[in-house]
Amino acid sequence: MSKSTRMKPGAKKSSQKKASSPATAQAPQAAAPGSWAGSSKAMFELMIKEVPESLQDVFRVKLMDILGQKAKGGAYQEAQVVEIVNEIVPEPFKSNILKGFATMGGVDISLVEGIVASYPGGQESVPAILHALKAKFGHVPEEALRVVSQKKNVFMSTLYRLVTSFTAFPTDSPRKYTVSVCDGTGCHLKGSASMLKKLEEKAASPDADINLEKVRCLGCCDLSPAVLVNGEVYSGDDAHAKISEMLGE
Amino acid sequence: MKQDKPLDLNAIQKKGLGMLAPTRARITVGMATCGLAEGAGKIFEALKYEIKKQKAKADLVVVGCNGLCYAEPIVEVICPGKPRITYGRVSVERVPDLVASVAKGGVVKDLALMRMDRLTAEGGASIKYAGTKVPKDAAALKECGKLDFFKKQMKLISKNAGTVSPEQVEEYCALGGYQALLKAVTSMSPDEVIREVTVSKLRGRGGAGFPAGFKLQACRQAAGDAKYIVANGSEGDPEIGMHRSFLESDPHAVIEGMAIAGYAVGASEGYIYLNDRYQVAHERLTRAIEGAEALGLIGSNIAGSGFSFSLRVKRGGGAYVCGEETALLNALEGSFGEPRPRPPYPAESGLFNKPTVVNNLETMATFPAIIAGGGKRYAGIGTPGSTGTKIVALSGHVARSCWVEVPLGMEIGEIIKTFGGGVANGKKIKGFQAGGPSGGILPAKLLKIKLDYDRLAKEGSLLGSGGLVVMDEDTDLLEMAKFFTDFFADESCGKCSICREGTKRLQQIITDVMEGQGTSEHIALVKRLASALSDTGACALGKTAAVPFISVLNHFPQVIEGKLLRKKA
Repeated sequence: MSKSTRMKPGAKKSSQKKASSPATAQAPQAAAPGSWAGSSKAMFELMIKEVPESLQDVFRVKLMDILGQKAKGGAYQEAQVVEIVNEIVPEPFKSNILKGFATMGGVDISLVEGIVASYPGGQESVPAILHALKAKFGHVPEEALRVVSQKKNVFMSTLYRLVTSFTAFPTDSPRKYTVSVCDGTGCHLKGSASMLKKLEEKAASPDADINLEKVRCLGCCDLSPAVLVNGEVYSGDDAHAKISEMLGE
Repeated sequence: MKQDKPLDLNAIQKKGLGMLAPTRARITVGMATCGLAEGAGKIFEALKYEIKKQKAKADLVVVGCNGLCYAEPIVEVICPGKPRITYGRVSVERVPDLVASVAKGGVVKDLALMRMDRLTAEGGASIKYAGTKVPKDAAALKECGKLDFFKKQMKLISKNAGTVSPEQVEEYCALGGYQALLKAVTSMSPDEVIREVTVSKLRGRGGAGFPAGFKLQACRQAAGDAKYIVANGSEGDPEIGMHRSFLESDPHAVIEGMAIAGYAVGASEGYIYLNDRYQVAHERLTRAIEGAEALGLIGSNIAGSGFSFSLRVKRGGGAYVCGEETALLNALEGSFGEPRPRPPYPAESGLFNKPTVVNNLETMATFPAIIAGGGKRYAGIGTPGSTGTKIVALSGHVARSCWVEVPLGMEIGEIIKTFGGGVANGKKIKGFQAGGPSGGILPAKLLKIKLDYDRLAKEGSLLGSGGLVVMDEDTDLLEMAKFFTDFFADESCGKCSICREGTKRLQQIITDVMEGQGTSEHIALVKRLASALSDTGACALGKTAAVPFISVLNHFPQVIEGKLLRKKA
């Protein structure tokens, strides 16, 4: 996935924060491949926290060096960061960091930090934060979870389990169509399963433009079988027609 | 916080009455989810535009759903001194006609469903829309109270739905709202409040039907420096978002009920746990809480009584098991939706290990009615073991999907016929489901049984949250049993191995039977599995996971036996 395509409008605002770095000062449209939308410094701090304590200092020096180059107007490359990680960090930390880093560019970390900070409390505040993240990004990005994990002192494994055990927190970024097929009892009786099956095949392919979700009630049983496409309810024949349109039939 | 602001309920009521029966016309649009799905949002915009264009002297108001979901989008027009006219299936093209009717004072005949001459509210003022002389064209319409759909209902807690604006606390007050809370905190002791609830014999409306009075009593007696009131709005049953419309139409009923419960047990904080998809309800509840706080109806030192109560809405994450009260508490704490071992029960150790009352939304909304009218009177409604009224949502193969409030003890067949209009396309009923997937599937011959906790339990079903799904003669019941079993397997939290693995084995067995590979051994295995599940599952999800298949086996043996392989040679 290209990192720069998911540039968020909030990126510009974040430059007002004290941890501002040159990277955040860019206007959204200026994001070229290889640059980061988020605050690089905040991102680096997150990476530093992931390595064993004995390595943190030397890792920090190297990374801040890169920020320094950037401040002077020099271009910095993702490859440089990867190189430093490869050089300094041992396994298994290395793979974790590189994996996190590979997905990091799309989300403005300072934006995430702002959201997390606006919900005081411990673990009981996490569901509300996840809802807020979903409202902001359309899904719950893994790199945002890392921030939540650190700020709220909750294990990543716990967060991952929370996110995956609840249906409300998709981890996939939104695609062209967000489709909720109602498979409640009434809709099922009226044949929602066939619609679901059609869409499931399509949504399973990696380059699909559909985020498919099976829901238990859309609250309009009178319209069953009902399908929600990008916020609009389609019923019966209309639903079938809309599905055919999405499937390009 | 409006701490010491004197609370003048009369003034609030008066203002509300002025809004409900204004001196200029009032046009309302039913904008609960059922209406919005059918385009009520566009109708609202069109009305706004048209009122401006025609310079009509009318207020445009968002209201909830009056239960007639099948007739959405619904628009009502109230002109001063004239009956309130209800229009159904309104399209954007017809909006100019409706607005024009305000100036002309007439009725748009082909869209009109009914008229209402007056509204009498429990304990509140009655609103007289029309005088003794009803205009001719309106007189041709049926009066709302004469229609079976409304005549046979008993709207004790849902009386405001579709009439008041969900966000205007004054309108709720005008119809008797918050009187019960003020009565409780200023003139009753907590024990008296609990006694009224106990006398009412109200049973929990969420599923198990536990006596609500006992729960309050247990929580009151439990020791704890802080106590909590939690309303369960998880509503994870498939197709039974039944309290959704209610909540979107009249959120104050739940708020008031929770405050009464808080006063009874000595809790000053409440949480409403809401299904994550209830976006509209979430917004309206949040604004309703703000509205009530602004007037000092909830908040600190309510009406100078020394009792304080604050309320927060928490959105769930979308897991069926979170409807189970201890799993819900875990979710509220930001943990996994997994049931806790019981005892201790939440009344002793619930949210953050403090004594907590967890009740369904509907149970909460019933408290004001009990306090206002007295427990004895409430106990007189329904049957001796199942008192009061119940909100019932109809869906599936009914002619009309709708939600209604009926006295308990009403025949299920009658409910389906009167409110749902029977089966769509004139087909016959093969079976029906009461109380969600855990209720199994019951045969048509049981349509004559009454809506009653114990009667349904006797048939291996349950009242549950009150959903009724009708299945017509063409329904493949085995496939439906598979559907419900899949649902349980999907929603199993995985904590108990019997549920996590058992539901998968059930799926496998049903698939085998469906494919014609089943033998009598399969059936024996299901029976053993069912008893193992009900003996060792930690919560109702696991305990009842085999009910759908077992109910088909018991009530429709031919469906399964016909598919079994003959004994192996």
